[in-house]
Amino acid sequence: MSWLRFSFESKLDEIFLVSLVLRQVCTHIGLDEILAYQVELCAIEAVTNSVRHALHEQPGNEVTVLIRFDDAKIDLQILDCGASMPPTYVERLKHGSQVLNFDPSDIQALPESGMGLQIIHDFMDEAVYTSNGGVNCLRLMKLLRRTGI
Amino acid sequence: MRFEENKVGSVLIAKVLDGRIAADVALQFKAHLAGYLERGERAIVLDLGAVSFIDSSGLGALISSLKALGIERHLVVSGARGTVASMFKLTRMDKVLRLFSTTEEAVAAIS
Repeated sequence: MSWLRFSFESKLDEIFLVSLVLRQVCTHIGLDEILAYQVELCAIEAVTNSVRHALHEQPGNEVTVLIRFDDAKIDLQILDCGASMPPTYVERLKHGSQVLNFDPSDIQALPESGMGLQIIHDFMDEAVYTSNGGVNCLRLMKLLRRTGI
Repeated sequence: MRFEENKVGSVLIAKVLDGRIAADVALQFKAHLAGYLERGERAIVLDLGAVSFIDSSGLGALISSLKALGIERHLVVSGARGTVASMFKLTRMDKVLRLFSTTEEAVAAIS
């Protein structure tokens, strides 16, 4: 199967386009609602990070998304040409962090941000970030189980 | 973002009409909830029955609103569907947020 490839301008109000495409893909390959949500969520977290942190929401830049799937898995790649992810965040993506190990009784200490990488770490079966030649690439992979539709 | 508001006694029911609470509207969402607190609402049921997608930005906005409540005010959630509920569970926010299946249950809990 070849890659489905599309790009959008680095603005937060265009990120919904990624959801539109992924929902159609997930419906086509028969993913159950929760699994489809996990795939969409991780893609949205990834592109949001590209727009916000790599490209600083500056207009005139692009985020590129590639999608490929087969019976066993779905692969995503999110590419941008912005600032690369700091090594500490790359480590968080790889190994997880303590951001969600909060005390539920301490409301004021609850996280309001920084949960995206942990969500990707927890929901995806693979998440690998590379930065080469000015191109940042986050590769995500999710093993599939289908509804049989 | 679009909300539908109803009052049951002193409880405000704020139903989110949009299907997505994501990064592009998170600030609006937060500002809208802050507006309820600023106008003096003390008991709010946030009905998420129509919401099928929330990301970490949307969740962060909700948590920010929870932090702004103080001791004497209530913000609870009703109608969180499977996908949104799975997000709350993954992030352990189901230990923090008071979640109710129906708006009626939520209203009764904070009336």
